[in-house]
Amino acid sequence: MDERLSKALEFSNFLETQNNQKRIFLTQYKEALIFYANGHKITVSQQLISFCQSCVLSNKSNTWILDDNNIPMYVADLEQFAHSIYKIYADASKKYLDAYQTIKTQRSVQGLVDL
Amino acid sequence: MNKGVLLFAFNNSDVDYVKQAIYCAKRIKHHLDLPVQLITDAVDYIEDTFPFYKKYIDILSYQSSPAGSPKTFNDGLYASKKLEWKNSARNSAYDVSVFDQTIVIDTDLLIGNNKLLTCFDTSEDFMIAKNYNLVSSNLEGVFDRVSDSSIPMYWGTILYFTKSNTAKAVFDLVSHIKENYNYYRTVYDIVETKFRNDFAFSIAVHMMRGFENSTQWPKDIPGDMWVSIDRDILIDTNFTTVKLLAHKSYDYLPVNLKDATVHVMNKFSLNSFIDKEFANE
Repeated sequence: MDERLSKALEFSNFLETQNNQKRIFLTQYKEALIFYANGHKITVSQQLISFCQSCVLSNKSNTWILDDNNIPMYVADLEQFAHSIYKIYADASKKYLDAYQTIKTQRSVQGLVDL
Repeated sequence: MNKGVLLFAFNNSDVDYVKQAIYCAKRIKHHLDLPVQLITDAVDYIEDTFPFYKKYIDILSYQSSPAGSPKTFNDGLYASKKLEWKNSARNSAYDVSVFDQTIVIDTDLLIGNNKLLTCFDTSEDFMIAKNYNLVSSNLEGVFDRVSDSSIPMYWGTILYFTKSNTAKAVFDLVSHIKENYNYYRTVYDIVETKFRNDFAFSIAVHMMRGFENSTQWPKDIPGDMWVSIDRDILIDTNFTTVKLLAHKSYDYLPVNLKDATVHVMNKFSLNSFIDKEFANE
């Protein structure tokens, strides 16, 4: 095979593998943002964090939210809840960033799958 | 016993589901630390061939083999075999489980985290896997419905149930659908002729929620399920990592998954890996 073609195909394979790994990391990040409490499924978002923090700053000690299935949920200890969801967001985001940074430094298909 | 995991294993001429079940139980012990009950027709075989099985399987129960149906088993892109597939015993899970709260999983599910434990913290009587992720993106949408014009697909690969009237009604209905499968297959426009648990549970769920698409029941199983079809090849795995070659048109794409639960449909590459793993048992 022409060396120019061979090198181009090698790069194409590398890019395809890298893109698939990035897709996997993003999917896992989104899944890591889901948590379960009192039988409710809740996806942590920046919006939910902001809402809870603003309630805490307004000296509210409890609140009501809708979970992922649109089922109402009473949050009895708002400060603790706000702390918990921020921690979930921070941990998931840090893990995603670390994984993404690692993949960016790899320059071969072998390197990508040996992460 | 209160909580546990139920597995079914019925060997055919080429695929050793019993061996898969023991390996699956090994991963269950590592990640979930739950008792495991295995339902099989090969009680003597397991005791003779895998004397170490008691480390991972807590309860071994006999059940006669269900009727098989022919199925093509791929081994990557370029090899396949037509074998008997005996997967139709799942509807008996409610009756045979010794647990009050039971997770039922396929033996080819490689558990990679402890997310399934969240099942026990919910107040649900029945849950089934719906959402899934593909190890490569080239099959997106293929497993979303039981057929192009029909109902959403649920995966019999992971089920959770309690000993309750609701769960019993689901399993009884699945038994009825199984007995009249050709009728229901036609009604729901399913092209495949062989019985599939996924389809039977999808039909049962659709019927039990009033023939409507409700998002509130049944709840999806908490956790992740990555799907690797039998045209992919399992390369290596340990308790936290799964390495695969995912198929793309006429070639493979290397994939590395960490802390993920993966449904490995290529039984041949899974069995080869387990042989190596069990060499040290």
